Amino acid sequence: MEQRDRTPDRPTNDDTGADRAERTRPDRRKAPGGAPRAAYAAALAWPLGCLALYAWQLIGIAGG
Amino acid sequence: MAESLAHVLLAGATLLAWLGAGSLVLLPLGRTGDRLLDGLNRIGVGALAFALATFAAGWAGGLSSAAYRSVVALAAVGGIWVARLLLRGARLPRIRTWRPWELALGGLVVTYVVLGAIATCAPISSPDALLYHAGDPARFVEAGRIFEVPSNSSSYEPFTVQMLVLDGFLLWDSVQGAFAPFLLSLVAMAAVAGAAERVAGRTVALLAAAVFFAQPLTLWDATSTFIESGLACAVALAGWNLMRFLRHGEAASLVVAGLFAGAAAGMKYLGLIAVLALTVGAAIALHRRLTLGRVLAFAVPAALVALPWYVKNAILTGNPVYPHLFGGLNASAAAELDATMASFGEGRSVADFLLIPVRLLKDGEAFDGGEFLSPLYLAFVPLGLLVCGRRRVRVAAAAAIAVYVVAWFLTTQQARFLVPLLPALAVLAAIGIVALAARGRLGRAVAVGVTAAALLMGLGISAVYAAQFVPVAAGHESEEDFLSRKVSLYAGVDWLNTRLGEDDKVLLNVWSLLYVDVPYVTFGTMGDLLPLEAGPEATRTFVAENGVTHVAVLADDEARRRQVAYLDTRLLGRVPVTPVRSRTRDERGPTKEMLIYELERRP
Repeated sequence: MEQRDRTPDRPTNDDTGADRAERTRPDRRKAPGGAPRAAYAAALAWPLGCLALYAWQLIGIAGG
Repeated sequence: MAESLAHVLLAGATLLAWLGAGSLVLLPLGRTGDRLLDGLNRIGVGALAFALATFAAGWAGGLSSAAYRSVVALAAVGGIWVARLLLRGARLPRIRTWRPWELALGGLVVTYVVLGAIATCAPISSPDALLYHAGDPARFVEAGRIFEVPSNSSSYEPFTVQMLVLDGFLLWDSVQGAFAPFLLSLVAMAAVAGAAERVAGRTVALLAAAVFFAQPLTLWDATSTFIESGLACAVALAGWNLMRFLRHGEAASLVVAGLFAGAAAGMKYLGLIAVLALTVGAAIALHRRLTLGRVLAFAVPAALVALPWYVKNAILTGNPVYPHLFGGLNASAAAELDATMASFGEGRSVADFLLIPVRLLKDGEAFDGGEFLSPLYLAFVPLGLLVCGRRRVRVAAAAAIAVYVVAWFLTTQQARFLVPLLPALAVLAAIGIVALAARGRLGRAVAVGVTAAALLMGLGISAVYAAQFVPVAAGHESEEDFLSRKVSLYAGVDWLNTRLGEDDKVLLNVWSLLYVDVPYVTFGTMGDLLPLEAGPEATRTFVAENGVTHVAVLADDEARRRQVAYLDTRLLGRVPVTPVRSRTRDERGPTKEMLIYELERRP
């Protein structure tokens, strides 16, 4: 049989499923690691942009 | 092939000699407790000691192959003994525990070491090296002493690395000399990896070593008898020792950092900018711990090591930083020098400064080799700067980088002049790559994808570059054939070497002076000795004073041909010559004609 905590001042577990879902849902404004999403997007886009520019340059040189 | 292997073996002996000599110099300071740092400090200080000893011996008229070989042999034996002590009980990298991608990065770095050794084994062919980085040491060795070279204002730059090139000439030949900058690049790479490992562990260390060393710019610079790899080595070791002081508070680290800062200032004027950047960064990072004693512990050794070069210039020209700041060149040479320095890059306005990252990535050729600079620096250093530790460290790093980049932008925007900054940027880029890879699947995909793509593109370029040197390094191509392909106007130089003798003296205007075997005098690299606008009287006086018997000029060089017309000459030969526009990319210009005149009346 499951042991229950009967401590008088224990807070009641009366939150709704919606509350629980809200608590556990990832914050859409935050990216992995806790960074703001805009900063995360920039951190992803910047290296890709640099690589694309560099590749474009090499293609130009190779093409004469 | 056997000759190339012998050069590599002697390069190893040189490294051991630097280790032995440096151990002796650093004996009073004791050990730091970090074996890799101790070893690299000793190698770096040993190289510095050899360079300054060569400088002193050269001005005293005592350059001697026999003496130098004896000293190197003795120091190398000492180096072997020290290496055994340093390696005894040391924890070497356990490669079996490395993950596949770490092995790949390690393999990439080793591949670059091999490519570098191959390219260095080829005869020297970069124009700057032919003109003075190797050209001047060759003349000094032949004369048995160092002397002023007023024909080329660049020869007044501090010459620490050129002294090590000269040592290679004393040990064997010009190719051995070319190994000095390459060895310094290896030490720089080890310092980058070591410092990064102490800051952030093995992953960052391997990435930083690859970002710094496994890129075409470093390979090109380290194998072209240039100076910047030496600067990178000095800056990296100065930085690591400053970091050691920051973490452990050992005063000896400040002294060694000062020695390397002085070494940087003694390699090239560009080193002064590097030292300024380093000092600004260190002052911010160590702000609360600065005392007069600590400042002096850094500044006094720095000044002592750098001063000989600036004092020499002050004595010879009255200007310690000749020909910059206080001038000294004739008007046309000064104008040409300014125009040359300003010719790199795409402008100097604020907008141009802000556009530098984009332009370096998409139009690197404007920066003379900018297309060889890895995109990983621009891609990941910003992120690395945001996450690289405490706020004060981030501010210090950003300030040091800003000082260097602004000074680079305002002086001369050549991509390879960024090389001294690259050790620090490589560590920051590696930190940025790892930080992005740790942030979700997308972050990892971008970090890994961009890094792998950039390293692969760089490897492709580097393989094409190094492949040009394989036939001659392996003995399948003759040196003459190689030089004909790679050295500008070589057919003209060969003609002069074949037809003229020791009693002749030719006045010429080529950069490939390393391979001119007959007595010569030049107009000056930028008309330093005989300006383009010099008239009949000045031209005749110059020719008489220098005992000129022949003149060699290009047929399309109207100004010099006008001056030849002031002389009493007869045309001796018309030699078809080919200018090399880029030895790196194997580009040649249209064939020209070199006109060779003989003076009717010998001096």
